[in-house]
Amino acid sequence: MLFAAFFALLVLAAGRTLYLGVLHSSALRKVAHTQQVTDESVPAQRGTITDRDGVILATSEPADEISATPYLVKDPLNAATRLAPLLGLSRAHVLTDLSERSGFVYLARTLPATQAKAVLALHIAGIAATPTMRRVYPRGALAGQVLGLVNTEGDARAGLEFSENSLLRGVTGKRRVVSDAIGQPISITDIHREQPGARVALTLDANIQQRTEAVLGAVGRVFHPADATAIVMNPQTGAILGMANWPQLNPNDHLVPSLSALENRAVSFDYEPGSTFKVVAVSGALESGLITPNTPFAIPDQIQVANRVIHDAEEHPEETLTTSEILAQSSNVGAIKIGALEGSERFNQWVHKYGFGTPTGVGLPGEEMGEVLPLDKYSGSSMGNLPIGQGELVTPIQMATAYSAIANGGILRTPHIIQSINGHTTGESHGHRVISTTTAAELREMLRGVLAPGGTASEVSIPGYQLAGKTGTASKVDPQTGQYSESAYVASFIGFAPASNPKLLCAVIVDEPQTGSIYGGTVAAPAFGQIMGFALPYLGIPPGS
Amino acid sequence: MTPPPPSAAAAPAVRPRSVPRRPPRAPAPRRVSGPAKRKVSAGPPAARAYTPARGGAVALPAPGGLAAGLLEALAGISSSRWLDRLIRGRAWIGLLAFALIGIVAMQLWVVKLGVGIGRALEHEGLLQRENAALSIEDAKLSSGERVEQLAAARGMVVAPPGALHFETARGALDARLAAAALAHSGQVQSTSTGFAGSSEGAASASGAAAEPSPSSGESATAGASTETTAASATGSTESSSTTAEGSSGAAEGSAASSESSTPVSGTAAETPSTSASESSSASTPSSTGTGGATPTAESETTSVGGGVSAGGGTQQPAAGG
Repeated sequence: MLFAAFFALLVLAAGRTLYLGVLHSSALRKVAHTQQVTDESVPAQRGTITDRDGVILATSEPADEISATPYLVKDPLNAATRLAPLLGLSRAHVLTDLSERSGFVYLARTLPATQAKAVLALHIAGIAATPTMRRVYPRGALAGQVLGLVNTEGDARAGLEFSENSLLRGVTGKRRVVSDAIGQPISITDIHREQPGARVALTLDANIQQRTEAVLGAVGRVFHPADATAIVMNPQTGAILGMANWPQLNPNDHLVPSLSALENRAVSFDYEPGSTFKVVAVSGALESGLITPNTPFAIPDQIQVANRVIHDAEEHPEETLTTSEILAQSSNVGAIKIGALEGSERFNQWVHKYGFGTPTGVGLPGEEMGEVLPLDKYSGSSMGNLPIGQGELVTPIQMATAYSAIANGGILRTPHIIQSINGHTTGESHGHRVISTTTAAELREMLRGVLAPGGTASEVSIPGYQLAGKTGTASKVDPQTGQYSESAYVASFIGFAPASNPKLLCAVIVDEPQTGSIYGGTVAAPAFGQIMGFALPYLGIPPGS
Repeated sequence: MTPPPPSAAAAPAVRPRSVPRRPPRAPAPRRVSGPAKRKVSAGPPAARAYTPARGGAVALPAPGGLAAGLLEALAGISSSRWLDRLIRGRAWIGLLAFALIGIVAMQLWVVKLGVGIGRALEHEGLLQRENAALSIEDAKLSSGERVEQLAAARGMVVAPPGALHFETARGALDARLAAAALAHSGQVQSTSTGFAGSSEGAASASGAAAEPSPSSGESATAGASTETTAASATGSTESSSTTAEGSSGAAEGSAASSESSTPVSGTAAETPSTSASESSSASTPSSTGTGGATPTAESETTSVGGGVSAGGGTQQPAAGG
């Protein structure tokens, strides 16, 4: 009897084994695989962007995407009440999401990991978290347009985030996790490891950048321009130490007001440079030996070129000005006379020699190349416009690069903003000579006159330092009429210091100042003075170096 | 019923005793497992023998022969007397139990290892999060704007560019001065009211402003090609002429007076007196209180240097954002 009972049990066990192990094995294997084996994606940490001293400008932190399967949430109202404070959303908002008739809905896209952990700790059925990375810009709006931004989907949208995306994004990894019945991982296998993005160090200096942006902010508050931009760079190396835009952009705010707000105007703003362009005509004539700094010119109040009459900014009787004085007082008539001495062909060559009409290659996205009138398109009046910086379009970075060549002794170097990638220094441009050291020195000396008494920026000074630069006030073309506007101008100033051996260059361009003044000498030059007044001692540049 | 045959019926029922009994057979030997013993044949071993090749070389056995040998060896193991005894004996039970327990233990160990790896990865993720959060916090806290605000709240101002002076290093002379300054700084420190750093000690001794106690900042910059100095003293410009970034402007001043060959323009009056005490307070929060808190010329000098270090964290002048 006992034997029969045991035998029956044995037969039952054997039958069950046969059923589970043979007949139902494939289905059970599938279920086990689904329940116990999961392939998790391991998001790669996006590379960090730092300034030249390692100050973090952009970094990533682990985050989670919180999603819901609404039909699995049994009590949406209760769930919304518990979730809302953790998600930083209103209860009504969460309730609306949870009440959707769909199988999937995002509740939060890039929730910091600590908050996501708290959400998961609620153990609400139907709520899941997917690991991801969240881009953070610790300094907020600092260098916003330069850095660009990464949206909630993790896509780089602008700036260096966009142009260096292939370096920064890294490679997402995949990991196979086998869990036991209670969810404990008992086996973890990296199918392929994640590769973090590269660490990109910029030439920017966070303190100079901040000061530059602060000064531009003050310009914005005082003159209410359409926008403004400033570049601070080392003319000897082409390294950009500061690149500011106004209005600012905070990349942490994913809701960008407009596409134009993303633009880095230092490289994308095409404008007619006005008087700052006069150095091109003057340097060409100096280099060609047509003039010297002391060559006298008879300067009337106005001059006729073909069918156009060009005036100086202020009425004056006919006077004699040297080349230096023409630059210092920014005489339109004098610059046109120098351009006429040079001739259109030679002038056009100098325009191209300085790199106008082609992108500088600074490595920032959205760089414009400007627009230079081809020689065969010159009209009779072109040489009445072009030497004074009207009739061609340039970008601020082109102008800063050209002035750097004057500052460093005649070498035109490609500006750069990336200092190193993963600690490996990127190559600096050796550049090529555009003017002789003598011509460059003469120009620097002449440009000192702009900030000297009688110059157009004579009110700007930094105690102890000799400054040099050039003001510019350019008329803008009214898009409605196609004619130069009577009310829209671009005020600019580009200068460097110390004048004898420049170590720092700054360009300030203010687009359409509305109130107060419109002139480069009163709008942009003071901003130049404030930026340089901070940056020169900050960098330890002695006055007499 | 079939009747028995007549012969059978006639046979006697009992076997007669006269029949001799067969002798008892010897007990058969105990059977043991193992390969059957081969009969040794008289002839040569033919194919199994290795044949030396010509010239002394040894010919390798044919592959088929090696495999057959292996198989034979395996068969030998399976029919081994020792194995047979092991299986039939009680030790086998213990061995099997040990092996089973070992397998289970090993599996358990693997599972524990997996759990450990999982926890380690989780910990790694946690550390990465903390690291990221800390680096972000660090970047926020080190913002120049924030430092400037904090400094302003303490009454500091950024030194104007005109208040900063640059001097050329004088090689061995500066080195000697620096060494002397350091030595004297140690003396002052020992007599100071408990501040740790030499500069603090000097700052605390600002009540005796004229006392020579050069700061460590001077010594640090002595070897540089150009030396930055902050001559922001209001009353004793000369005395502060060689002041470096350190916070002991007073001591610097005396050093400068002894080394007055370097002319320094007296633009010190441009620097508000508040800045000095500020920066010294930045480096040593209680120094102003200890040192008398009077914005003397020396303390002003101190402040410029301190402002530098507070703002930019560098040795550059006026970096203090």
